[in-house]
Amino acid sequence: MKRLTFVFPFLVLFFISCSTDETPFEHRYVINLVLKPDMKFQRAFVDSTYRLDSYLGSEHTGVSDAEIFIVDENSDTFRYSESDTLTGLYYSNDSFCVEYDMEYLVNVSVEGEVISREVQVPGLLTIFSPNHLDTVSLSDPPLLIWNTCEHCFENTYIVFPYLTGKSQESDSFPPMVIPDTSMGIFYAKLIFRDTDTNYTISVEAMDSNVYAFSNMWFEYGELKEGVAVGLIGAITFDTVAVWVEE
Amino acid sequence: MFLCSFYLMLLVGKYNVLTGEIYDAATKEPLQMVNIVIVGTETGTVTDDKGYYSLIMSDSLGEFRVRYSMMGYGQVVKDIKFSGKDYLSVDIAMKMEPLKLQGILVSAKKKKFRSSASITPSSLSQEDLMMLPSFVEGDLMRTIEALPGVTKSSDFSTSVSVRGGSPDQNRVLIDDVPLLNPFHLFGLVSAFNSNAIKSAELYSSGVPVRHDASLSSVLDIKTKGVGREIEDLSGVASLSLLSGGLTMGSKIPSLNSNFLLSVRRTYADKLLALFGYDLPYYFYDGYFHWETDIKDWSLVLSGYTGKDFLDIRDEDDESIKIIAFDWGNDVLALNLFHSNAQEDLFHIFAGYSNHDFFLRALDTVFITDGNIDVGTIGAEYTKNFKRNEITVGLEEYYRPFEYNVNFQMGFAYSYEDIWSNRISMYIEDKFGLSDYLIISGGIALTHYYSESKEFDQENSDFFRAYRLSAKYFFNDFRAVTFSFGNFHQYIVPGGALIDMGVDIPIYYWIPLGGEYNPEEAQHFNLGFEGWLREDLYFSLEGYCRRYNRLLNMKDMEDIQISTEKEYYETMLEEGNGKAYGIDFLLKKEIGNLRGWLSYSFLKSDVVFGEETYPTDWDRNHNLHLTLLALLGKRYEAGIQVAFCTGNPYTTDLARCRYRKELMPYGEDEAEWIQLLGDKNQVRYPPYVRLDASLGRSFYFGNNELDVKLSVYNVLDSKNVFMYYYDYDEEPPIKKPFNMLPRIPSIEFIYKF
Repeated sequence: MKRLTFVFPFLVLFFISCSTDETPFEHRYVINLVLKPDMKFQRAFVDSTYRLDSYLGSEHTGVSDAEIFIVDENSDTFRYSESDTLTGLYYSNDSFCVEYDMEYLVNVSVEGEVISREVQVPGLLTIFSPNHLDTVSLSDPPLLIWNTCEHCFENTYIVFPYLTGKSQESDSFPPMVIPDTSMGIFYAKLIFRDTDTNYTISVEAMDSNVYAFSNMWFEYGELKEGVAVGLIGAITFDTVAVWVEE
Repeated sequence: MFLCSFYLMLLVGKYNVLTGEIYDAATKEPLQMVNIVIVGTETGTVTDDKGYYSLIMSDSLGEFRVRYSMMGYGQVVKDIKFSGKDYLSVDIAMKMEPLKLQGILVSAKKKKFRSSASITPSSLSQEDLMMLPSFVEGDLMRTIEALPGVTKSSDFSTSVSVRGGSPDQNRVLIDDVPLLNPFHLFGLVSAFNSNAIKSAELYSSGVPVRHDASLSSVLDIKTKGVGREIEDLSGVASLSLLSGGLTMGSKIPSLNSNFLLSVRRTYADKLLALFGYDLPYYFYDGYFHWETDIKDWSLVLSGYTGKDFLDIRDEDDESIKIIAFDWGNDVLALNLFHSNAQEDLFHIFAGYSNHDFFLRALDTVFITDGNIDVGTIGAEYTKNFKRNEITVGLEEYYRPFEYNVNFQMGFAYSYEDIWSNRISMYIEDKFGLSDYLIISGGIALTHYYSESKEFDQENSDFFRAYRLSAKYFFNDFRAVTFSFGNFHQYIVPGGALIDMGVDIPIYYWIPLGGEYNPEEAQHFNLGFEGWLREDLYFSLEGYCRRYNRLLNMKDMEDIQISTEKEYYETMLEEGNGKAYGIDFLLKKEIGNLRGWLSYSFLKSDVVFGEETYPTDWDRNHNLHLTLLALLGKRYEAGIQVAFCTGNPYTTDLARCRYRKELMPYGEDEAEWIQLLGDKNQVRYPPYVRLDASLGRSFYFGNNELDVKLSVYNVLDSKNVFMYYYDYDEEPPIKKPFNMLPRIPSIEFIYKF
């Protein structure tokens, strides 16, 4: 057994190395700002990251006193004002109207840090089939919807099935990414299997100007270099309502 | 027959008869084919299948010496004196003797030790597989994890990493035929029926140059049929909690050949159906091996098939398929050997294999269908000189690929005209410069051609692989080794099941072409091996690996999917990596107490983009102890202990609220999102596991029933697979999701 003593150094190394390291908390600002054409007000939410092990009531989030302003292609500047209803919620002034297929520079200044991002708004998105309030039967083949979007970018189409007034299975049913500006979208019948039969279906065209939450599908983000995470981008969408017979 | 002879001789009255029973001293089992010889004469006999013997001799021999001997047992010499009697019964208990067993096991290993220029590969025997504790049933890949240099990322998968390489970088050969994705049950069990396996060798270094098709290792599995070892009709029927199987083989004298056939299938779906339950999953596998001699040629025909089926349907409407998923391998191989008095060996081989993969989700929402065919043909010639052995070979792999992926929301892509062709010409020379030094060198020149008409791509390039190894013998029991080699891999895994948190080794293999060059690695190894005692083998090897080019599937959001061509061209990212470490093995292969102790130190990092991070299987320290004990009265026991550094993982650094709109223009709701830190920068707690088994053999004439009780994870160690946060509490509670708990199982193995 004496000859086995040379194993000893390895065992020492082994036991020394069996500790686990925990990386400390990382602070970032969290910006949610999505430009939407044809909206009277543009909305933004400014927040920060929080420790996973610290207690937070639902009302104890949001960052006040941020300065948000948008610069368009004509160098006109539009500002956001803080809402009274919710800490960290900001709305644009009513004079600011987002146009399709335009570029904007988004600036957020918070506690001495400035976050800037150029945003390209997609072109007009139009669903042209089926007509609104189409009636489909569960026994029918899967519903087919066509739409077009001019000057949309890669990774731009996300399809959400909505019940009228509330979302339906948008968490469990993954959004589908459709690449072409002219395409067919097939909906499985499974989408329409619920007690309610009146559905609103939205087709959203997102641009690719995503600041940090690049992976929206699984709703996680990875902390990279920078001062902020979140979603700074633009979106266009169209909706249809569908009546489904049992 | 003995009794008849005995009485006949007694009647004649001119002879004396020595008779008796010979049995194993430890197990009390009768021993057949024991040699019994009267010393100084040519008179002798052997025991029958019940351990009895009867020796008839002239009555002039009143006093003499008898030697009882059998390979693997200590010789017994007995002085016999009839003392006026004409009949004497002498029973003998023979003890297994390691010093003699080395004649079989150790000398085979020593022969390999003396003849190879690199370190002896780790090996497992059939006995190891059958006697070691099982996870539900004996599994080669789960036993391999106890060998040095082998790590894994979780208990949920039998895929392993060898010396820091990813699981896809291990080439698995069954009787020299490569298998892709050799796993069942999404990787939980391997595709090999242990009852059909004779041995397995894991080449983590010293990989021959002819295997220049994987970056990390070669697992060389030989089935029982190889080498015409099967004599009479014999077989094994097995039943475990997972599957039932039958393996049988026989010699066919009329055809001058022998065969082995092995089949296995899960039965839970059939069993539950009797009680009205529907289990939408099953797998099966089968293997056959047929060898025959035609004049100076040996012909070997072998085949393998294995399939998994998962079919989950809607409870309300069974016509709707929620998930339909099946995958598997079909292999057919023909080998021809011609040997001339062991001076040379000519080997011609041809093979065909097919790997298919079909996944259909949510009825018509998502369909993917993949097929890889591989046609192989080649020839190899080995010539032995006095101190020199030269091998030259030529082989060609033709691989047409076919993929059809269909998101039926409007996006579909298919690759139907991709194919690749790889022709390799190689030469290896192993020569002994003296009794103390063996040097081996090899070079392979490979022409790789890939073509895709759809993508308008055509690639043609040459790649060279080198091997150099040397072994210096201090004496017959100690040697140092050095080896170097560069390696290539021409297909890489991709597809939807990559990087889902758990390694599901059902890869969707992608041929490399266009801008993608084959993956490349270099291995440097420095080793020391030999015997501490006659029956105690050890090896210590340090290694360093450089991965000059690695290809990894990108995250989906980084892949451009407008067209098939764009998808293909953007789906992989190129990186590099390195791995280094030390492997130590101490193994006792013979005796009533056997087993091995292995320790591995490993550091394995990869670089993709600007990120450098440890691989998922980067367990820095790995300690495994495996013991088998032959207990008296037909019992045997085994334990397996694993104590390893925890795997690296990506931790959550913070949380934030993501405000999701319930519908466009509508209200929103806030959800917590966890934010991840840098990849794989922290580790799970150390991994600890103890498995144990106890087996008992029952004998029915020449047949044997083995019953084995196994408990996987006896201590029910809570080895963490992943962490998650329970947001029903505030602040959220970090909870572990553990790997496999304590799992008892029972196996019945009937040998006939």
